[in-house]
Amino acid sequence: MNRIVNRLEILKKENKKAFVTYIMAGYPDAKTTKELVLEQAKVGVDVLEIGVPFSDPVADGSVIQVAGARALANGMSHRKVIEIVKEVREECDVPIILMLYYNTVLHYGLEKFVNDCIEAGVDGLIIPDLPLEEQYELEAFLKTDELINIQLVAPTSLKRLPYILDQAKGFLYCVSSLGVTGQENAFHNGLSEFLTTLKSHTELPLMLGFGITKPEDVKPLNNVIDGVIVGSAFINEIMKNESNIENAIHWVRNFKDNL
Amino acid sequence: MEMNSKFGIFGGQYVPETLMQTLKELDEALEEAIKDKDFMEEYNYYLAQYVGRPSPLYYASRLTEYVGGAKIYLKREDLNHTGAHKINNVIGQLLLAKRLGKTKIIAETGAGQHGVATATGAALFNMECTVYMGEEDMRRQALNVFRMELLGAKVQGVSNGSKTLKEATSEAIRAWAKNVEDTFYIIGSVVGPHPYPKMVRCFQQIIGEETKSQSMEQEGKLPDAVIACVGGGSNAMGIFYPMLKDDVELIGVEAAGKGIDTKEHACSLAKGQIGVLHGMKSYLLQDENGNVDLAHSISAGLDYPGIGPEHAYLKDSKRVSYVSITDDEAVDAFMLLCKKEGIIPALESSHAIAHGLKKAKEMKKDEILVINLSGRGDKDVHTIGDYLKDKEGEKVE
Repeated sequence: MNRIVNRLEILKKENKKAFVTYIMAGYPDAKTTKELVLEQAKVGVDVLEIGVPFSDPVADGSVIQVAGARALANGMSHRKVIEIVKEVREECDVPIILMLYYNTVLHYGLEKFVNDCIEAGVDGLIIPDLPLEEQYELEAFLKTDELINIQLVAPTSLKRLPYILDQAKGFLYCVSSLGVTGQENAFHNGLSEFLTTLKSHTELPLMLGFGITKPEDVKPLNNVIDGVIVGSAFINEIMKNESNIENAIHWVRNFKDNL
Repeated sequence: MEMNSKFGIFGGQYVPETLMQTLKELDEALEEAIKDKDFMEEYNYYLAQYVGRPSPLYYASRLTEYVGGAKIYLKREDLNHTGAHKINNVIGQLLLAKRLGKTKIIAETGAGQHGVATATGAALFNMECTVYMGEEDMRRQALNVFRMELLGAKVQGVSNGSKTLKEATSEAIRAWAKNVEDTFYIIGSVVGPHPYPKMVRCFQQIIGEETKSQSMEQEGKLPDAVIACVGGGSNAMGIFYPMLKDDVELIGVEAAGKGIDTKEHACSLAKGQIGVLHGMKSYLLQDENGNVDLAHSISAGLDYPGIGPEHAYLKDSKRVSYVSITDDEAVDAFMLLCKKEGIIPALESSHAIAHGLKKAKEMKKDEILVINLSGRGDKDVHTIGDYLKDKEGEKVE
């Protein structure tokens, strides 16, 4: 069974919220990226998203843009990210999702990318600029559930839900606000209603992402979501502790414990 | 779901999910509007009474004599209100924005002509307007920044990456996603997610329609060849589209910057690979890891690493041929048009003129060549000044 699906089912049985984090591959450097993955797995992060840096990340806010630009300057690339996953897999079994832009996948070659991801032990993909209408090319190569393509839904997606749910696997990435990653205190006005509607239409776990900085942010929504995704806030912690990631890992553990 | 968002394999809607419903609504509104007699009447009213259309098809007799080949005509889009073809599209999109009940407008701009046109239209229709512009372009096009501000628009500088049109476009897409519920994004070229490439072409095809009827009137036949510059490619799509089914040779001119074999050019058709940027699949300048390369051109309006998807399709289907012109050649053509015809062309259009001079020479004297003069060059005089100073410096060294 796909590692993401497996982990989320266990959490559901235990009635626990899933904690998903995002880091940028190559920031602060490749070696630290690997350490960050392994250390997070140790402190119990449920699913890890690893961002592949891209020159034009239109769905990302300033924090991830800066981290991505630094990663590119460090020479990080799609090929190197897959190598990192391969190395990590020798030591741990934490579910891993690559978050990347479609040009990166296209450039690598769709079929080769899918095969290399599966071989390296990647479990899922999140491609924020590949909406449902454009997924058919990639889907043609996602024949098994070893690698799943995670669907995003936004508060503006209500009319599109039937089509999106039809295609969705693993979990639904629920975007908390319109706009880009890392906008603090900007949850959409109709978010709670939107999530309630979603919940009534699907059994899939609902993960809330974009702009979440602390466990308290999601307390009012706890009865409608199954977990949270934290990216920019975590990268901010890494930025504050570049030479000593222990502090950032401590922050992650604390977040998980208070969720 | 609908699959008519492509030109062959190009185009599509590669945008965050947040924007998809809006694109669907826009697509439906566009289809309705262009079939609505009242909408088209209003659009044509503003084109005639505000923009100043039809723009002349001017016989450039001194240039023709100098070159000694085909009869050279200039389609004078530079005479439109605000000085370029950009206003045609802006009026159309603004009327559509009004129809959709949007009150705020955002736009991206490179050379500033689209920004000025958008700021102008926003003033005319009393809408709040923010224009995203790279800081490098703000420096190169300071006059247009001032014009936009005079017109009441906010010019939002973008300091990421190359600080040019590519980054301004990314930033505009981010701002659009954030404010999609009350904001209309006016894209300035035949680029972006469906329906933008089709919509912009639709509001620019007036250029080609007029050219055809003016050529029939003045010469009793259609032109033998038509040349236009391509950055994103809106003036070119506008003049080419109505002639795609006619026996007219169509030529698009990309900016070769410092040379097509250097790293500093903007030739996405000649040198790019198929990729996805800013919501569309098209030819794209990119590096060995699929990151988007920076383009270079002396003209801010052509300084873009991608190209409209319909051009990618027309290139592959060989209906249109695409060539390139360097910075140096464009500046020479700029100077020549100033001196021979008393017209200061935009640096973008100067690329089309430069190739037009080569092409006209190969053609017979009774043949007709139309060059789309997409904009006027007032905005570029400082750039030309700097270029000439640099050249002088090179000689001294």
